[in-house]
Amino acid sequence: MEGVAAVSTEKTKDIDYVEVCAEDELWDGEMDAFDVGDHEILLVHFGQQYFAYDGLCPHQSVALVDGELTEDGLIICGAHQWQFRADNGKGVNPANECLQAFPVKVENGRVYVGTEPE
Amino acid sequence: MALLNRDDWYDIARDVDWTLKYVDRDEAFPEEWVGAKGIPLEAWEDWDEPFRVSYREYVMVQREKEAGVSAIREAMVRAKAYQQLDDGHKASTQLHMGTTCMVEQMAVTMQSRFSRFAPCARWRSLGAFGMLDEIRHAQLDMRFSHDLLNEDPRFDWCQKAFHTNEWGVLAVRNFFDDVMLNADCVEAALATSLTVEHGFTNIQFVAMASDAMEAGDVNFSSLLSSIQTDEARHAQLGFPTLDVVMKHDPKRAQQILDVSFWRAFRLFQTLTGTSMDYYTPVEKRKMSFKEFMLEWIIKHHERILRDYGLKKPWYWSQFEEALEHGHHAMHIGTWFWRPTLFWKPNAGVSKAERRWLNEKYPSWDDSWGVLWDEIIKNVNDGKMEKTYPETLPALCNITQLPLGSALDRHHLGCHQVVHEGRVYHFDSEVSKWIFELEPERYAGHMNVVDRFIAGQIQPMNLEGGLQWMSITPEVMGDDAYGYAWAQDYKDMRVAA
Repeated sequence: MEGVAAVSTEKTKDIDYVEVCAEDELWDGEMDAFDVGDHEILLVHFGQQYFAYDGLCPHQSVALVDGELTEDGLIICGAHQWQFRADNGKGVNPANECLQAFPVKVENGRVYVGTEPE
Repeated sequence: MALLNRDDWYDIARDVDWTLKYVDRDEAFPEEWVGAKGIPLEAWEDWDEPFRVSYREYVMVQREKEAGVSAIREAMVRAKAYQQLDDGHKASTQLHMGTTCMVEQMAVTMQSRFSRFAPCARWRSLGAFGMLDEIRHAQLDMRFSHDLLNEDPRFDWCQKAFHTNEWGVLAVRNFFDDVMLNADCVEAALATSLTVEHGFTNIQFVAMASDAMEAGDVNFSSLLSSIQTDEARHAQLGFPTLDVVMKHDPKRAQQILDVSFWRAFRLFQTLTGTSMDYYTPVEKRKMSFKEFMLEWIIKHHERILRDYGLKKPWYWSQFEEALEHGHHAMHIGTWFWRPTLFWKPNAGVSKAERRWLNEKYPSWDDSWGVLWDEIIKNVNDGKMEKTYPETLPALCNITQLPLGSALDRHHLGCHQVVHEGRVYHFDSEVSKWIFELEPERYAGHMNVVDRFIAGQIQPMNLEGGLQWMSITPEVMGDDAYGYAWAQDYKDMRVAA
């Protein structure tokens, strides 16, 4: 699979990336948490693409990895049911919140996440 | 026919309001219930809850949650999982059920008042969901406890506790009577929904759920987690309320938050601080009470204060000091007065446990270890009569907790007020400040010791006190492990 980076090539040059897992470790429809630099990152594999977000729900800092990734692409926090779109981090309920995105790239079958948010 | 999306009709539905023809608005929404205190009616049009739910969605989600909790409950009851649990952990569940279930039931009343008297239709609409949530929480607690009645009669106190005069229960009831049932809608939203539900319940329902899972109590953990998921909907009503109050009366908002934060903190120190740092088996503890407070409660409270332009409470340094000591004080106190409890407290001071306490609270040995050493010596010398109280502790006229229990022995102080000829005592400068803000609100109340001195508790001895508190032999508190932990120190007797 081609690497999916939600960041431009130019920007990528200035970003430090950390390898988090092999591409086939996380199946489509799964998500997992990784420590990247000082951040706990939620890596989401959805719709043949990878997305990385701050792993803590903006509501009350509960780890989103303990929640659910639905078939229609919603990340639902396990503690209080806040919902976010898996493909862009935008808030669904409540709509006025969002997840902070981190850059992701896939190279040679390995998934890398940037150490700073976009 | 295709259904409309929720957001296509949501605003119309939640704004359905009364068009009053036969009564004035002030008659339909009396100020003493609403509590707007001069905030104009149109200001509440800005009130907006971010997390939205339709009744259809509500039923679907709640049904799923119920099915999950129920499946785990049935499996755990059938497997007799409760019998395998640690006795210290069992005390946590009994304390939780006795002091929480009826608070949930009181919250049904508070939410029903929101759904009737809140100053805008949106808030009233949300109150109806809150009411359903709180009914669910009380019923879940009752069902859990009913299943375990044959295991331990203390689970009867899930329903019974709030119909007794047990002193700890009175402290809980006193606080929630005041901030949920005595308060108007605006104050209740800020003191209860925002401060207690959005903030402090995390420690009871997230930290305790985590500890319970570690301790192997899947049933209790699942119940707590499921209850906590409901908070996103009804606890959020504190935020839009704070938004409106900050625009019109920020001083009032600051005062309500500062008062409720301290009072809630003292209560959760007593209930959750003791459970987390003493009752939960030491090898199963994930965080100390203080660590959890810092990570989950204080960080979020500071964020709320910052986001809304509020100041830290004036008593912040005293709060930080109390965070180090208050729950240790409440623990040694509750253990010492154990015949007045309806649960069996774990002393939690074996050598391994003390190592953990000193690691988490570096001054623990100096502040508390020396007092426990005296108790341990008496236990090992067979002088059990010296490990029991002969007197009642003087109680605070705000928190209803013992004087001296907010800090340690190095920080004792006398905090008193004379109001209309009566002397009132307080556990701290902060509680005294709260009294002085609204003396008439608190002045009429008599705490347990006031009642004892007034002759309302007869006969005036321990037996009379226990009878007044409805403590019966089958539930009376004693050390959870029958003092086995004192064996760790048997050499001390020789040394002494």
